[in-house]
Amino acid sequence: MKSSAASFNWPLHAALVAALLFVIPLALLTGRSSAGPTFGFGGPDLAAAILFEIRLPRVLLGLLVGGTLGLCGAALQGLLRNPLAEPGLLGVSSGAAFGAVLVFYFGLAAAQSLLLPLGAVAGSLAALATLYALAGRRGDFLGIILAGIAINAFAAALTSLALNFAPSPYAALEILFWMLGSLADRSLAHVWLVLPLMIPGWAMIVLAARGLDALTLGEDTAQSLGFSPKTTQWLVIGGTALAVGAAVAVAGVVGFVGLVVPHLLRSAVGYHASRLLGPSFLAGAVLTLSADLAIRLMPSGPELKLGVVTALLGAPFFLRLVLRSRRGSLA
Amino acid sequence: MSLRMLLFQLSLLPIVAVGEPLPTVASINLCSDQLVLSVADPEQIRSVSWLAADAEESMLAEQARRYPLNYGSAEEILRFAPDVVIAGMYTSTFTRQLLRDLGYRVVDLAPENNIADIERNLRIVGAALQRADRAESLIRQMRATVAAFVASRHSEPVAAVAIRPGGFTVGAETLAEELMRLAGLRNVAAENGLDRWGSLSMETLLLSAPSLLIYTGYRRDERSLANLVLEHPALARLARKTATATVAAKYWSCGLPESLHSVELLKRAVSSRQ
Amino acid sequence: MKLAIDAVAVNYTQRIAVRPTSLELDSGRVVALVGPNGAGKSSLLKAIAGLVPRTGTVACDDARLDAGDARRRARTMAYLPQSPFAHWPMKVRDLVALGRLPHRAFGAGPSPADRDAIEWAMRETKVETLADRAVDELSGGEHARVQLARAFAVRAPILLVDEPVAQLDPYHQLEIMRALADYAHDALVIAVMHDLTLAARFAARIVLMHDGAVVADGAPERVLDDKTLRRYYRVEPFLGRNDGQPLIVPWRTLD
Repeated sequence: MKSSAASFNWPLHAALVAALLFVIPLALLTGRSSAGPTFGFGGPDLAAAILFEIRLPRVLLGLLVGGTLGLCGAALQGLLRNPLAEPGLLGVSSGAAFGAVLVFYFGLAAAQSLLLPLGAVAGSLAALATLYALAGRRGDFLGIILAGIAINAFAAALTSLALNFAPSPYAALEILFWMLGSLADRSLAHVWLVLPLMIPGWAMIVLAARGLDALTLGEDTAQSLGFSPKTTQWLVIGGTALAVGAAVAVAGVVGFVGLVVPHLLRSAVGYHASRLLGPSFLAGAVLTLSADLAIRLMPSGPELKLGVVTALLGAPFFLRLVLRSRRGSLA
Repeated sequence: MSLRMLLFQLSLLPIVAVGEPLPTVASINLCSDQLVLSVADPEQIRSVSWLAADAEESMLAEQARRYPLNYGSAEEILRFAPDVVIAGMYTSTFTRQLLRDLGYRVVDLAPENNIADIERNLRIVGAALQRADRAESLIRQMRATVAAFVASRHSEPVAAVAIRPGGFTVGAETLAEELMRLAGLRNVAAENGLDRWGSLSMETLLLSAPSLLIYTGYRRDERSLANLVLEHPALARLARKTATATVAAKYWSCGLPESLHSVELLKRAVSSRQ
Repeated sequence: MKLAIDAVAVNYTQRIAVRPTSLELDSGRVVALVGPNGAGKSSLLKAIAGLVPRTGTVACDDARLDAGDARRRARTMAYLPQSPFAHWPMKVRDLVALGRLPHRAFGAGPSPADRDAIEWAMRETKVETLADRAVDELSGGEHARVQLARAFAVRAPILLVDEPVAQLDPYHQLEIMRALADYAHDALVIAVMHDLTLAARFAARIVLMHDGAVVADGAPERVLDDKTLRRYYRVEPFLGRNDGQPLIVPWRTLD
């Protein structure tokens, strides 16, 4: 797709919106019973409940979570100027996962399942605070990556520790399955829970968009063009922590969407970091909704976890990326 | 007639319903499935989970296969339209909440850690399904069986250790341990300070010098790392010198009157070693 | 338009990079900032651009450029670092277009003024034929010219460039210096340079720095004479003239 400084890539956006409008009705129509996929809404008395209380939240969350992961992946790759960057890199996802595990561990989740997402959001914000404490004063990009690796390792260790002391093997299993990532049986309450966190997160990233463009030329030049690299950095990191934290809180850890989507679209938007954000959101939503739909179309058996499917698709892609970058041809 | 057959047949006694139809039920958890299968009338059961029909997992697998199975999702339960949903307290957090939001009555059962817990859960299920009388009768039979076991305990408790796949063992305050005590055994793992779940190191196990090794069999013909632990040479050496018994895992993973069958197996192992 | 630099100093933790320096520079010329390695030239340039912490003030026509509106400062001063690079393999025109960021409002597309500036900048640096090529496919010289075009596109009244011709072949060195001299007709260009002949030929004023301080300041012939070069560069120069313009070739080191 041709691109230049002057044009907004209408064909790309139209194609992505069309894909979204194709997947959404399919996802709303598809359900699953013990015999395998079902289409339609059951009898007339059940239709409203199934459509509005079960399928609609699942589709909305697929859109919000997938879009968030795509958007934040694009923003992080623009910020770190590295096509291998991903929201999981900063430790936000593992911090959120640990926060939720703590809620399980103290048995709070048994009483009210909304406490689980709240615990996860607290975890992601704690990870951000730790990130700031570790890398804040200097704030350079390498410092942030190293801090993110440290937070990831620490959160994973704490999560393992909590699992080790789980009150029963059932609780440990439940935690493990949750961490694999899933959108099954979420309710509209979860949608209302994540929106107040995702929307400010998205806004922060959009505010940083032009700073990301300027950073293409390096920090000094970006500063000379009127964009403080530090401000851009904290906007992207803060926005990612909020939005991805909320996403993990509700859906568990869904990986690789934030890695794959921006990578596929980058050349189509002329490598402008700011132009990548919108399409990455749309494509992330399409990818996640499609994966979630594929899960429901499998033949009979218990449902696969969403995080497993995205990992199966994304990990080979990631491997290919690494190999190509070693050969020096990452474009 | 074995205890198990007796209990099974008793659970099938037809009960005449008087007045309103009994509430229908769906269960989405292995332990609650088996409790429902024990307490409810067949007409009440709309669905049990797929695990209940698996003979490795469930003590009532054959009975469970007569009913439609579910994979624990809210949409499936909606289609079955039960009056009551029974679930485990630690599983399917989102599904249970969604079902409540949709207006279903969901009863959460805590895991059974001892015989008193089994009685409690039987009563809860009995109350929810208006089969309190069946629940009480099952409890009475359980108590009678337990009393018989207690009465037939003569000698000193025999030191025993239970090995589960993966090297885990049963600790203090578990259902398995209470059943071991009923069989005249003392749980050496618990004496070594192990609480609830966990693993006993192979060394501690050997040093504790148990007289009976209990293997809990779970998918023994499938290869897995967990099952490989059971083939540890040190364990094999110990097994040559001590008596062994095998108790299928399904008796101890959920608490039911049928779990008492494992006590019989253990008593037979104790007496055969003499 | 006058740029007033007053008592600007740069202190890094380990050493003093630039001692308090005051300069007044008028628009309409190229000013070459020269001196041996470590003299503080790049640091002074960055200090003027506001890229490193500094003391002192920088004012353009009596309006201070330190605090407040980053966008206004960005429209007033354009900066091109040593060895500039682009992280993503974008098209040349898109890279040059980044120079218009200080002029574009949030969410707005490029205006006709933006498009004109981009075309003009590419013409001045003779990269119009490369407009649709990807920047990672360019040669060193082409890349340097494209980066200069980006700086030109800002159309700022003050242009700060750090060693603009360091890696170029002779042909492109002369091309770039000519472009800078043309840009300087109604702007101020401050260029850090190592090549003394080019500095003497294309700059109207030379500021010579040594050990963090300005030691000479004035017309090229006055500043870059035999005595100064021996003293501060520690080389014996060959001085000549060609076409009426100075020729300065460092010939031998002095030990």
